[in-house]
Amino acid sequence: MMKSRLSGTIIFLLVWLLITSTGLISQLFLPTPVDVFKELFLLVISYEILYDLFASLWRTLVGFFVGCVIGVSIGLIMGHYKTFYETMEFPVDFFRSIPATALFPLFIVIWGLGDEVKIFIAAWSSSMVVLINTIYGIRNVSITRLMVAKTKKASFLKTFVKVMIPSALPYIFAGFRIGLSLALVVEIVAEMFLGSQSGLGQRIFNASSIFEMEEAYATVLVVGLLGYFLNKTVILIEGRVVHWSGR
Amino acid sequence: MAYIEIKNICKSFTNPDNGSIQVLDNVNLELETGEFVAIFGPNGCGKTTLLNVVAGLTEFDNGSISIDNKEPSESKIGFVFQNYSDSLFPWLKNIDNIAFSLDSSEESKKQKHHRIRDYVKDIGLGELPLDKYPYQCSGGQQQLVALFRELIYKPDVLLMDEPFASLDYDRRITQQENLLKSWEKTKSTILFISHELDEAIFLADKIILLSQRPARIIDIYDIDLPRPRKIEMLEQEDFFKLKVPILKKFREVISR
Ligand SMILES: Nc1ncnc2c1ncn2[C@@H]1O[C@H](COP(=O)(O)OP(=O)(O)OP(=O)(O)O)[C@@H](O)[C@H]1O
Ligand SMILES: [Mg+2]
Repeated sequence: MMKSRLSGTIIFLLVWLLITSTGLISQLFLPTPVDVFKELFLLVISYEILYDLFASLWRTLVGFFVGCVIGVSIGLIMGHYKTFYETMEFPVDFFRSIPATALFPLFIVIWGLGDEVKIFIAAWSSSMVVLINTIYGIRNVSITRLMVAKTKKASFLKTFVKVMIPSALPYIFAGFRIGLSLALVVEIVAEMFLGSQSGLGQRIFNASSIFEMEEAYATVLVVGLLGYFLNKTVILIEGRVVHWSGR
Repeated sequence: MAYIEIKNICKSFTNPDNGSIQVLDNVNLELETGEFVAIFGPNGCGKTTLLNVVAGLTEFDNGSISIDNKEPSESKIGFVFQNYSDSLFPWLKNIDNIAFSLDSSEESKKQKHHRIRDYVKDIGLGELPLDKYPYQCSGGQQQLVALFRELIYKPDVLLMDEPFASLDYDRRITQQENLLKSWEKTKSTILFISHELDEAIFLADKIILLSQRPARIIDIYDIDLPRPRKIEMLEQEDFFKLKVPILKKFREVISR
C-alpha cells in the first residue's frame, strides 16, 4: 500500500521532470519540479503560503459545515415527505444543474465581495450534493427494518431517529466526502475570479498574471495536497462512524 | 370466536411490467390461543405474504383479519423475518439489536443487557458473540440474534418465517427444543413457516399445506403427537404415519 503510493508519486514527478526538461512543454508555462519545490520551500519558510492556506481552509470548512447542515436537514424532510419532495424537486434539480460559477454575479449582488460570498459559494455547492445523497439515503431504507420498527410499535420519531437516519448515514457520508472536495474546488475558483485579500486561489491568480509560474504551481501543489488530506480525513471519520457500510 | 381469524383473504401484487399477480386466494384460517401452527408450501406460493398480512404489514384486497377481536396492529406481535440479516440493524451490536425489542420496558440499559446475557447463557449459547456487530457474525449467528430478539419480546403472537434455516443440525434441534420450552411458558400463538416437514411435525399442533401460487389451503393436518415432544419421536412409527400422507399430497401439489 505504502509502496505503491510512493511509486505513484515518483512516476508523477518523473513524468513532470521529463516533459519539462526535454522542452516538450516550455518551462515558461510549466517549470520543472525542482524549481517549483524550491519556490514552495521559500513560500513555506516565510509563512506566506501558510496564511493563504488557512484562509482557504477556513472558508472551505465553514461553508462546507453550513452546507452540510442545510443539505442534511432539507434532505431528511424531502426524503421522507413525498409531497415536499415533489414540490422541491424542480427547484433543486434546476439549481443543481447550474454551475456555481455561473451564479457568481448573482451571489456578489447578494453577499458583496468579502468572505461571506466565498463561504456561501462553498456552502451552496456542498449542500446540493449532501442534499441529494440524504434524500437517496432516506428513500433507500430497507423495508424489512421499517417492518421491524413497525411490529415493535416504534413511534414515528423513534423510527426516524433510530432506524431511518442510521440507515441513510452511509449515503450521507458519501455526500460529505464529495461535497467537501467540491467545496474546496469552488472556493479556489471563487478566490481566483472574485478577487480576494487572501487564499490559495488568489495567490495562483496573482502569480500567474505576472508570469511567476514557479509560485503559481507551488500553490497548485498545496491545493492538491490540501484536497488529498481533506478527503483522507473524511474517509477516516467515515470508516469510524459508518463502520457497517458496505459490509 | 377464534383468537386469530383470517377470513377470505385475497391479495395481488401489481407489477409495473407484467400486470398483476394473485398471491393469496381466499385464505381462511383460525388459530386458537396458544396454538402452534406450521405452514408448509412450495417456494413463491405466498407464505411470507400471508405472514405479512397477519402482522398488519401488508394491505390486502379482500377479506378480514382479527387478532383477539382487534386489528393486528393493536396486538403484540413478534416476527422473525425470512431475510433475518436485513432485519438486524448493522449499526447496533448484537446485544443492542436484541435489546431493541425491550425498548418500551422501564429497565435501564444495563439491566436489559444483563437480562439478555442471562437469557442467552441459559439456552447454552454463551458463545454467541453478543458484543460484536451483525456483519462480523456468521449467517447462523445472525439468525440466532434475530430469533432471540423476538423470543425475549414475549409476544402474544409469534410469526416465524423459516427461523432456523441457517442453523447447523445440532443448533437447529436445540433451538427447536428451546422454542417449544419458551412457548410452553409464554403461551404465544405461533404461526411458523418451514420447508422441513420433519421440523413442522416435530413442533406444531397443526400443519397447513398450501398450493402453488396463488396460495390456497389444500389441507390442514392435525399433529396429535404427545407433548412434551422428544427428538426420538422423529424415528418412531407414529411420526411416519403423519409424514407420509403430507408428503404425498405435497408432491401432488407441486406436480400441478
Ligand atoms: N412486493 C412484491 N411485489 C410484487 N410481487 C411480490 C412482492 N412480494 C412477493 N411477490 C410475489 O408473490 C409471490 C409470493 O411471495 P412470497 O414471498 O410470499 O413467497 P413464499 O411462499 O414466502 O416463498 P419462499 O418459500 O421462497 O420464501 C412470489 O411469486 C413473489 O414473486
Ligand atoms: Mg418466504
